[in-house]
Amino acid sequence: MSRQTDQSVSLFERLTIFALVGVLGGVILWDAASLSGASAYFPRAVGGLTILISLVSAGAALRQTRSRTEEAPLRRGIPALLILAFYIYSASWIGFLSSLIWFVPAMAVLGGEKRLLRIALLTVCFGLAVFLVFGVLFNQPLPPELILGEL
Amino acid sequence: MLEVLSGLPDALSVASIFAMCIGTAAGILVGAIPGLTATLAMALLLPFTYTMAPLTSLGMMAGIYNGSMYGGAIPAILLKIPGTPSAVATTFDGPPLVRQGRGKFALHVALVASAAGSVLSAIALMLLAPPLVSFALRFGPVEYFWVAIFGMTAVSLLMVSAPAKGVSAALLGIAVGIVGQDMMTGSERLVFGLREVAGGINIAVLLTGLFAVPPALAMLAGGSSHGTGGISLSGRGIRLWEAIRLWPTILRSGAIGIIVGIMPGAGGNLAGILSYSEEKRSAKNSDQFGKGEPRGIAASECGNNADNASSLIPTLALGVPGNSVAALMMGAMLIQGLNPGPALFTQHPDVVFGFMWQMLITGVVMLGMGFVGAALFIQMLRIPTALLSPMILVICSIGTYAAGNSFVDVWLMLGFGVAAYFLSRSGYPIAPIVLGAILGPLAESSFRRALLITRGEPAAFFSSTISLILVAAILLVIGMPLIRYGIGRFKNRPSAALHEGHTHDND
Repeated sequence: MSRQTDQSVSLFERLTIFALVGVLGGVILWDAASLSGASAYFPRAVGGLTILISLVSAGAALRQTRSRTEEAPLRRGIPALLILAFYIYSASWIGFLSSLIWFVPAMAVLGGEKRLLRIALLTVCFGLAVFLVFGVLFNQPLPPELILGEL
Repeated sequence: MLEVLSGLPDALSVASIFAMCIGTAAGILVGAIPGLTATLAMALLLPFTYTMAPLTSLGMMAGIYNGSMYGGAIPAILLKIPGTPSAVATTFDGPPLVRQGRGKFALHVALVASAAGSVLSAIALMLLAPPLVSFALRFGPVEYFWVAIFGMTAVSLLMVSAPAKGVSAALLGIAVGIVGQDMMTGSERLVFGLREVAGGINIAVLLTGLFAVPPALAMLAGGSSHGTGGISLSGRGIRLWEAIRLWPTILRSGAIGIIVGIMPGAGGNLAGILSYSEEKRSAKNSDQFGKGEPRGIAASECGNNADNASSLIPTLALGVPGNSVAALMMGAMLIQGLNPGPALFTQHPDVVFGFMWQMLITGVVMLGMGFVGAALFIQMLRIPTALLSPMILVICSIGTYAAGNSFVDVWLMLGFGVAAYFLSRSGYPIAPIVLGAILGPLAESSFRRALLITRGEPAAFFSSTISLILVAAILLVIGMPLIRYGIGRFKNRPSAALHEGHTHDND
């Protein structure tokens, strides 16, 4: 694959994730404490086992010095997720189509695309395609747009 | 068999044919882009299927599933980059044929073999699912509980290198599955005051977040393009007699693909590699494999496509998906209010048998599209991935919003995407999360109904022969990682002694 595969993942990151999964197990157990009877069987079992297995995974991770992944490296993944979060927030105010005008170029630049004319051209074409497919073909009710108004 | 024929008219309706054509074209296009898989394409489509008729939605899904498997062969042959994980074995013999100036022939071999594999697999689905349904009618809550546990353990333990993480992922999936009101007592579980999830987590939101966000992020890491300068289709295509000569390979690989597909936790990549290995082993000219042997391409492509429809046999007959694509198909059915399992065959035979025909017809549609549109499909390799990534995320967001007209769903989709990204980086497999979310509630409701029926008698869980067979199968699945670990240690002992003093990384 052409994408930057085989990134290494630090022990700290893995231990943090195991800890968070364990905490999630704790939250499930805590929520199950308010339940009674058969309602509580599965949540209790799931919460307890999640904590137990997280401990096992953390123990195994301490013996495994390096781990590799094909997912995006943190320096690209975290900014991309933050931009996506801002896109969703922006879409709730000015609409999905109006927001993609800044979102697509921002993500493209983050992904290493430097040809600005190509970015602009593809963003406009994509925006038009989205408008035609969702607004016209599917007649999908979407939030009001800053640029195009009510679709 | 006559009942299967009853689905043909519905599968041949105008809307169904249109959906199959669109789905197949989309599947080939998506499969042709390295990094995009059938699961991603189906996850993207899933939120839009709410407003579609059942067979329109399923026809599109069938087209994407079959089309993407063939689409993965295009970059595997032309660029030595498998478009989907299932096309790994296609990279062995495809690129050497391209170097010999026979690129068009190699693509046609892959196309014919893929189409034949899809058709064979659909026939297996039609022949095997109805008898399995008859057998499943003997199942009660106890048996369904064990079937659900078997499905989850098999996928969690067999398809991953780290079984503990597989089980952990399945448990997280079960937790997602139990969010909302308890159907029996009405008490709220894991809702935390968020009214929007009191009715449970929308399966389309979960699937879109898990399967579309991490691959889109990974595409950002690959630079701006695939570097595909100079791709062209060279040489002549396949001739009829050359296609006919591939039939022994197609039948062998088709059988392997079908068997692998039925096994829970296996997948198209295993089917492709096993088919390739078997073809090479049985060939008289095995030394030609890896140097441009057409049968190598045919074996890999037929094997990975023959896995498709057969992987849906346990999904349709028992309501137990064996892999992530089957889970997505099940999600598409659940969205339509169709519950896969024996009842589906009696309540909606038109849909279930129509869908089986769609799996077969999309194989034929793919053949036509592949011959006509090959030049167009390879153009997909030129689209910069850095621009494709945000486009995928925009479609995910709009699709998720459109599914429920709610921004809470879009934020949840992002939350699942964030979780999948970090979990996957730490080695957690994603497919068991989905299996847990679907099978967890089935296991719980079956367990509790069994407790009510048997008045809490634990021995009832081990009283029938079917239950005992399922328990034995579960124990075998649980024991497999231990057996593999033991064999691995035994094999490595002499080499470990020889290499004492050298440091090995856990790569």
